[in-house]
Amino acid sequence: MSRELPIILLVEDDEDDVFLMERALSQTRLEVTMHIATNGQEAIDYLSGNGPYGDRAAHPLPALIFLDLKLPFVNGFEVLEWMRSRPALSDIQVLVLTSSPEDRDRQRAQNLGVKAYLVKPPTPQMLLEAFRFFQPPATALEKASTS
Amino acid sequence: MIQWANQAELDLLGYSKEEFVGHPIAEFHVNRERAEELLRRLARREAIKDFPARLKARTGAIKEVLIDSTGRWENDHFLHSECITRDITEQKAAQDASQFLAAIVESSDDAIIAKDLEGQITSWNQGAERLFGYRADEVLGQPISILIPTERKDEEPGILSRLRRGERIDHYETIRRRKDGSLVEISLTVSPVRTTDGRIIGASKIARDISQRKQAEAALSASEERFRTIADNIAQLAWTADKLGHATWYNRRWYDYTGTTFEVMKDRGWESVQHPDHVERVKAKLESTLQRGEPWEDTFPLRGRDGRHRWYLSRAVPIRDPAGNIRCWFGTNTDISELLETREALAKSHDDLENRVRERTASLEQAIAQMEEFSYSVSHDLRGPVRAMSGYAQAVLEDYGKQLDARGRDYLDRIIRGSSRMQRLIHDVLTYSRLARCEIQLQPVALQKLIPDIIQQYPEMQAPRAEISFREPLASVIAHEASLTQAISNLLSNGVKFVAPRTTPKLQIWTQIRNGMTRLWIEDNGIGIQPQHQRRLFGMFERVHQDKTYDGTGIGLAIVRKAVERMGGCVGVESDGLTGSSFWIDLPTADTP
Repeated sequence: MSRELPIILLVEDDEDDVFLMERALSQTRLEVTMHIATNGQEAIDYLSGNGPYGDRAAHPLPALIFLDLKLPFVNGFEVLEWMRSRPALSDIQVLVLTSSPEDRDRQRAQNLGVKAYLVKPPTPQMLLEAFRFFQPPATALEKASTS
Repeated sequence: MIQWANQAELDLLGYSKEEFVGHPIAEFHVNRERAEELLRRLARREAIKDFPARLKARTGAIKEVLIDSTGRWENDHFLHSECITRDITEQKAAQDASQFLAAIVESSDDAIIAKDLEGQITSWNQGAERLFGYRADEVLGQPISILIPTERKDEEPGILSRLRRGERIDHYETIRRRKDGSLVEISLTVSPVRTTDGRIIGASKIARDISQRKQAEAALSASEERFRTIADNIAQLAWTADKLGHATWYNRRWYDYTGTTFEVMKDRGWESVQHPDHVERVKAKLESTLQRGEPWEDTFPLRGRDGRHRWYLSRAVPIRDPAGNIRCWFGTNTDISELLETREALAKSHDDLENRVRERTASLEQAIAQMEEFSYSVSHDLRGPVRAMSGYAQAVLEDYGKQLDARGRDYLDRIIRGSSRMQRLIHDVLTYSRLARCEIQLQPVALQKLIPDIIQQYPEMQAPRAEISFREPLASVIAHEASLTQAISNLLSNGVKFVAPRTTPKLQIWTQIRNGMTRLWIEDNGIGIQPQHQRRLFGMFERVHQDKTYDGTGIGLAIVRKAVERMGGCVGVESDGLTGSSFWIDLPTADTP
């Protein structure tokens, strides 16, 4: 049985920031598969399995989500609130990755159950630490692949 | 020893013959010595006539008597005496009464004069002497008219004719003339004097000097006049009422305002100018005040002559007699309509003002919210492109660095350095604006704990990169901890940054308490600040070192000043520009627990 790579979902609208994330991630030499949602609604659709995302082989549920806060249409906080109302998604760890070092954003994210708050730009060290803390549990991956 | 007594003698004293005859004479005298004197004089052969004595009657009553007595002698030998005793008890009583009355007349302050029906003076007491100045011997037998001033001569015939008809004249106030010609105001009471059989033989006149009373009356009337003048001319309505609240008097203003008369207003007439909506309330309060006898105060509308009501503040106080009983009430009504209107207008303008403040506050809050939104956007939107510049430059340097010459790599370095400065600028500007608008709650902060905690967070402030020492203990201050942390962090990081090359930064920290304020000193061994630059040191975007070695945004000290000023403190620097700087922060001292 081939070992599946941990899946991460990056919710980010700025392609430069996507580039910086991909670059930092590749520099960690970790083997992960990264899917990208470019706004909050797309993230919700992805997690719900709406439309094309219904195909879980092509769009598997992630173990970790890197979530920007300032997003078009549906922002990061709204995504977090939506996720809290979906117990089936409670095993997915969410890390905020944002431009804002503002205390009020940090506080609000914490209140919505976020365990890690990272300020851009992402660095390989930052990502390695994050993976060490949030080792994607195998069960979550299995659940993700069977659901 | 009584040898014999006739029946008259026995009747006089009420004894039987057995009780009287054969008893010593002294036994019946009230005063034994009088009896002995009588006997002594008889022994000297005196014939005694009208010897006054007092004898004891059998009933215990005392009889005033006059005794005539003569001794009977034979050959120088006393045989007996013959005594005739006359009872003068009634006579004596009448005489005493007369003397008593005369004494009263004499001692009276009033002038008491008797005259016959022809008007001739027949009696003149000392009071008359004092009042009119004539002695008795000067006026007895003179016509009473000597006392009457010329212009009142016609009074006397009237008085005399009334007297003849047996009438009495009571308290007739007139004027009489004294001996010295001066006039005196008197009150006369004239009564006819009759004989026992009712015949009028003259008149008694009692004259009382009433000049003082008249003066007092005049003074009272003048005082009353003054009171009326004042009462009629004060701005208030004024009135008096009896103890039941029945009006007895109003001043002119009352009538001017209400357009009424005393006839309408007297007693409870004032109720008719009360406002129908208030009259019951006013009456109820008044009744209870009248009963308690306490000063009264109430506010109510009164109807004016034009039919419109105006508001009055009404007050009344009870006026008491010396015994403390309420004699009457004195009250005033003050027009407070304008006051009330002013107060209403004031309240309205106050409300308007509050509304305007509320509106302004709301629009300010909106502006602040917009500013915050703006800052937030700046924080996000400006950082993105800068991050991209820096990130791509870094990527080019990493991936294609080897294909570039030194100059190309230097350019990329400059892009990276420029964008990282840009990021710090954005960070500092946002810090400044956050400090300027955040809510500040002041509470005691222990510098002794706060400063080591700050140093703990910055490796560049710790050994071996820097040496920071304290002169302990550090005081506690009243501050907003987050703002103070920001201010001290900036000062410390400046302190360790602005040093000459290859010098280990050394900072000394201590506090100094004076007049309830604590001054926190941070002294460094840095490059110092020229005195001419110190003034603008704390301004926004001011950098006083051109040397690129000392990298900075020019906002750090502006942040320090903003933070300290928002906490009600001051910040400053002392430096000679050569041997380091001493920055200080003044804040109120907190009581160290």
